[in-house]
Amino acid sequence: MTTQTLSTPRRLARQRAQTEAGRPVWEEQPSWFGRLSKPVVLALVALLVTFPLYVVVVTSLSTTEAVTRAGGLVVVPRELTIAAYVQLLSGGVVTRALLISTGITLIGTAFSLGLTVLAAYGLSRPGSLLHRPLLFVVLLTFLFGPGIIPSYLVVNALGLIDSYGSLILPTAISAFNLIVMRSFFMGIPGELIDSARIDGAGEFAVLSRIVLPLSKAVVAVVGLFYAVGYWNAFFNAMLYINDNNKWPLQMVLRTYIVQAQVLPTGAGGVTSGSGMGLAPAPSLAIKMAIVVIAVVPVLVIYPFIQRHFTKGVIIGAVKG
Amino acid sequence: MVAPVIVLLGVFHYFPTLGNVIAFQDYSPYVGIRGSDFVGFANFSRLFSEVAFWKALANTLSITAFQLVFFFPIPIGLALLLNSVLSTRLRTFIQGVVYLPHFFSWVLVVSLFQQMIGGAGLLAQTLREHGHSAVDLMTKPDTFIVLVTAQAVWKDAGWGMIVFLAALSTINPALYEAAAADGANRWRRLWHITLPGLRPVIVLLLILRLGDALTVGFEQFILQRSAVGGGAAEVLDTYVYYQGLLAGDFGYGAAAGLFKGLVGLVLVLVANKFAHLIGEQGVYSRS
Amino acid sequence: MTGSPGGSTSRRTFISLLGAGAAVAAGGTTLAGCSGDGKKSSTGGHAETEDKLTGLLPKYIAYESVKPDLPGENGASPGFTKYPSELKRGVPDKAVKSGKEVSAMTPLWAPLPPGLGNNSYFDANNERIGAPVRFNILSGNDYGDKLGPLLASGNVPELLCVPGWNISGLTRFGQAVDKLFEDLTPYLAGDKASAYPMLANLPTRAWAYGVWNSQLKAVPFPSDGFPWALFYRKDIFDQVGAAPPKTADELFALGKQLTDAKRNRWAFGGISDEVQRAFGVPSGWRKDADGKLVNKIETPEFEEATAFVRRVFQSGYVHPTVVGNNAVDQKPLFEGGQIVVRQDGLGAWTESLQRQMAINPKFDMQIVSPFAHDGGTPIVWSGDPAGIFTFVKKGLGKDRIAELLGVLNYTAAPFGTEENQLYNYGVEGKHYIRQPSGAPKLTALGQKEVASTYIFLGGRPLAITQSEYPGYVQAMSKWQNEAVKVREKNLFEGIRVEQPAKMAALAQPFDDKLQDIYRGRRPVSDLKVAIQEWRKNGGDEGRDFYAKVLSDNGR
Repeated sequence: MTTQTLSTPRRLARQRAQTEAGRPVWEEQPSWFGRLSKPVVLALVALLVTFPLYVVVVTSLSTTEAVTRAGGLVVVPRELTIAAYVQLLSGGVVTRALLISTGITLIGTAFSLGLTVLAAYGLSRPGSLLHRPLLFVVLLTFLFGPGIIPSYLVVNALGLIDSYGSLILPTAISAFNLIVMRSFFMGIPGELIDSARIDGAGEFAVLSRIVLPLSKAVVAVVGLFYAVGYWNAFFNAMLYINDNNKWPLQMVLRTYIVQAQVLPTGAGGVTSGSGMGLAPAPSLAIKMAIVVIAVVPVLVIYPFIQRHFTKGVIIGAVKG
Repeated sequence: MVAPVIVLLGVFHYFPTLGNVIAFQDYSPYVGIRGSDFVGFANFSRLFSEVAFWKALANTLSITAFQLVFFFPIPIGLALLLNSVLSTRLRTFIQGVVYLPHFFSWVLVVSLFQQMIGGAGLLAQTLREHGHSAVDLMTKPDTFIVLVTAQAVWKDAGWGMIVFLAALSTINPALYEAAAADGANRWRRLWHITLPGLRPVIVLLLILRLGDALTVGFEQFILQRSAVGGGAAEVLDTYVYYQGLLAGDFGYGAAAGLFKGLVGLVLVLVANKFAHLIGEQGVYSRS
Repeated sequence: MTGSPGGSTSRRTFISLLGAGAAVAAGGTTLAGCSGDGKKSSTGGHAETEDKLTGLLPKYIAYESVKPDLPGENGASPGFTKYPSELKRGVPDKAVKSGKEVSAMTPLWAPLPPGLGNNSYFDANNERIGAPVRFNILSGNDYGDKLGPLLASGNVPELLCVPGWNISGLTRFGQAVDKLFEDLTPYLAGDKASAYPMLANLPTRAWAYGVWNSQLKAVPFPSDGFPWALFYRKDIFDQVGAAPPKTADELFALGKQLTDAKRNRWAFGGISDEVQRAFGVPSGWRKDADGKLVNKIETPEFEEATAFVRRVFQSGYVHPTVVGNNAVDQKPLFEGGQIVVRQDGLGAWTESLQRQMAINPKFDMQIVSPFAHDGGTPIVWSGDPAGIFTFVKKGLGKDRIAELLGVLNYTAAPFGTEENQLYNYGVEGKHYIRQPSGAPKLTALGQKEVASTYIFLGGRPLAITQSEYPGYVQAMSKWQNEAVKVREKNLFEGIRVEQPAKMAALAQPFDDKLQDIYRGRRPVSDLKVAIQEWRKNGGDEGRDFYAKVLSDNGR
């Protein structure tokens, strides 16, 4: 059963794609208006997104001179340099933080996703114990949040200051993700689950053999949301991690953002560089390189997420 | 199965959320909740007694309403559009980049818009070069609502699309084939198969958005405040920030947070009821 | 609508960012200095006076490591036109006799350096101090966000640096100071300071700001107290044959002369505070003929200045990006020649020089001498004499407190001492080499390891030292000596007044209206309405508070 659910839809999809230009045989030719407008809209969307992206990348590769000449973001590339990336990624500090962030993201995502799947499944079966009040409990967290000081006091009281747990546990569950996942689980035909039950499958068996294989798309999406959240999170680390050696990547990168900034009046005219004869990469290039670094991991994993957006998962299962 | 989640939320969310009791206090963090004096609804009455608060609330609600109409449907449309692209390579490419602006900070988004349509941006400079007078689309209070929505769409429509792509993948393609055989054209198939398939997710996200109705952004508005003036750019969060949080008045901030949560809760419950009336599950079902 | 576990973090980031830089970027109006404190109620406000504090403050004992070539008079910083070839040893003994590790928390505006154990710059300094100093470093923009929870939990390190601009976001900071930090009076008051010669060398005006609740609580980081200056691009001035302004009319004429939108050049960035100053607007309050306090915004000069700034905006002389974006970084625009004249803090000067000297030899940034709108005698605003404070944790025992003060004595060593050179640049030949000018230049190892950490502990007397930029020391020294002569008489001189919370809330609504007037969305006559509202909503109450502070101090 499991193998069929996996393979049948893909085979079907592949068969359907065998027609001319990928169009299913049953689908009619688009109208001239559709044929004309769609590429225009798509091109526009692509341009609106890729052009600013290009500006960001070019600026991250620019010299101080180019940034100065442009008075900000650089559109026309001139003498390119990877100085910003070298400055960011050289030295042990950033590489160590990179490892920490990767670990937190992997463990945190697995933890969050696992618990979210369990809870979403538990709350998705009508008639399960207390599911409405529990769902309400989850929903309320979406509407009412704790202040920073009480949160800090709780983490402090649990002895989690300076532990990696403080970067995962307080924000492990997103009500939004949980509610969305539950809604997808609700869409799975009841007869599939009932028939498995009749075959004697327990709750965990139903979850792992029926629900999860049918929900790859939403599991992938929620996993992406969690992973992106962990990768880009810095606020908890800022509050809870005193030891600079335990900082995740985003915290370290934030110290690069503020370099070459004049301190507020009252600091006696101290600047960050303080006349140390430093010649750092232009701060704007550094900032843009940090944007690029935030985006790259997502660019790398997104294709794997996208793969699960294949059509027709459920019907395959029903037929199988 | 639900227990671990409930425990986590209880410890790290509900317990500290009890700290919101400071909304009824003249709170000092250094003597704690127990040491601070209770002042009843003083923080709330300070909030509600100002005309400026109601103006900020009105601004916030009109921006939310505007964005429900002009922002909310766009990720859905984008998902449908991409889903209909037949070339795998093209679809993969556009899908793979369209969400990226989500990762840009508001500072960067505003700068990029400025560089394009601001008073010294590409558009203005091109106009000047051709002897026209330059327009600055970023300093007009009247169209500010359009500007912030355009910025929000550009930043987050692609990211919002991802959930809908996932939802589209759960629709049975055999339904399309059968409908086509019955002579339904592409618009009828969209109306009768695709949209009903997406409806649970659309309704759910709509309800959740309503729960956040009093949150429309913060940084985006602070950054552009002087450009269009406090009259257009004051929203609830910026108001509370300037009137209380900036000076560390946590009780006032907590009062505002509770007010926002309550309004959100009422909207969610009403919207959920309405969803039931039109035969949808909503956030949680009737029974 | 994404649901990332990060929550609403972006807001908090931005709050801190605003705290640090927004006033600078926006060219807006700031109504008064700090806020916060108040023992009982949140609207209290608080004041400490130098007059009453003489018994608490350390006795000033001058320590001269090198003789300045350009002496600073009446509060101007001394200028040094060359780096001394011989350094003096200021602190002969190790401060921490027990050798026990010192914990400290400081902000940093630079990349995070390698930590203790992997950093020979730390080792070299700690060797002189006698014990390792373990820094908890935090990006300066995030610092205020962490201070709140940290103080609330009482989880503070032995030495805690608290920037003054963060205090305004910490209501009732005075309570935290009482509860968490050691009273330094028994260690430093009067002649006792002679045990710490570098600390005794800090100006008394700065020490007065280290007093909370009538106890000496913090070691101050002295500040020159000049909030703004007007900078211009002399190279561009020379190109178009312009001269620095001496009157408001000349400033306005520069707008026309310098603005060339087609060539992507606008005369001005943010200048509104400097315009107010030129029109003679006081920086805070002044007394009118009847002895009644008048706020800056209520003065006729303020109205004139507002009308002037509005004319500048309306004429299109302000760079559109500055008009349209509060948080835009004006420095690249200035360095790139898109903005020719703008106000900034004094520190901006060397920062731009450092960046531009290497790549644009023509880049010539100069400072405009203080001028009055009518060509008469100008005023210059005076700010606080100390801006950053270092507190010592309470209850560590007498011996330990003395050791920790020893660390702060080390970090107070002035320009020209071995210690100053060591905590600023590391070890010669290893972390830095000397350029022909004598100026230290960091080596590759220095760039990696040296960070502004020790300098955020305590403070040291100010000095103008960057002689590697030709003409800079002379020009800055000249400007400061000119400026102190016309420094406005501050009614609250020597009194650290913490603004009542209610007044802090008045600032933004008023600034909104002011920005509306500048940008032509309201007529200048609306200023009167705005001032009325300001008075009614708490301005008058604030006036009474400040008047009481003055009368309590017999002024």
